[in-house]
Amino acid sequence: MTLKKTILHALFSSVLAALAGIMYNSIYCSAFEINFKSVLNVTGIIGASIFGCVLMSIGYFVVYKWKGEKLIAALNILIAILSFASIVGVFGFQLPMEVESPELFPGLAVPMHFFPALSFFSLAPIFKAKTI
Amino acid sequence: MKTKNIKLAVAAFTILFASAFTVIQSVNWKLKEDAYTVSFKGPKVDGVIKGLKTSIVFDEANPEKSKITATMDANTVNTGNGMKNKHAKAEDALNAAQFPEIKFESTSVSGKVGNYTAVGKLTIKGVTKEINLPFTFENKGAEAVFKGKFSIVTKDYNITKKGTPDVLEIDLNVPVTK
Repeated sequence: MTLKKTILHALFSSVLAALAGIMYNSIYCSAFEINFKSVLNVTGIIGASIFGCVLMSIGYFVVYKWKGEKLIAALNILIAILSFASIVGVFGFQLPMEVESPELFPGLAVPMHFFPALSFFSLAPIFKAKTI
Repeated sequence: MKTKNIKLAVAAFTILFASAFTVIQSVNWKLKEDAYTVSFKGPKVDGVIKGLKTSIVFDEANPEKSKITATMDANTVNTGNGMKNKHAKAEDALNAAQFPEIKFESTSVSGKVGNYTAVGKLTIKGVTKEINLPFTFENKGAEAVFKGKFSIVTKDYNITKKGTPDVLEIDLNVPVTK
């Protein structure tokens, strides 16, 4: 796995995750007529997608250089567990008081926590060491 | 006898005139519905309540002539967290489904210009208790602001849900217009 592939993997999966997040945000907010822009907006979704995907790419790069493909499966499981664990923060998150219907917030934010991992895993075969 | 009748008539007229003047002095203040805040704070929980409706007849020079009634909707409790909101409205907390109305009705108002105390009946969850509500009144001509702070013991109002603070501090900021 080269650094170039790692960067491309991070870039494309970030774009994919951000697009999914923005679309889901738009559909969810219009369906329930809610507005969580003060805590979850397009900039935040793009930033979180880039952060998550870059972090996963770095993990892939480091693990691959260290042990080859042997530990990639373990890393995938770790990423899935961390994505799942991160939703705890959503349920405990306190929104500003002026935001109405906070009970609808987890329905918006929880799926988004899986978008970076989902897009990263979807594109992983394309950026495997022996392809491209 | 005739002089006595005239004196009585003058006295009656004076009393009538004075009372009419007093009525004019008491202002019926209307709530600025988009500007008020009623917030509560306790250990590990804070939030706001909406749905405020008021009837405020207040005379800052003669506060004893004042009458304050306010109701709020328990279903509008917002802690900023969906799970906490659900807990706050639950049967062993506010029981908002059965007792949606939170009501305060003053029985007397006293104090000096600027700082006052309303003694009244606060009803939460169908339980009525007498409370003292100290408040300030900032008169800005056609507009004014009532600000008050008091605390309630949650168990007094049959709010027994585990995790509910024993004491909640209530903060009021109520802008009004004439």
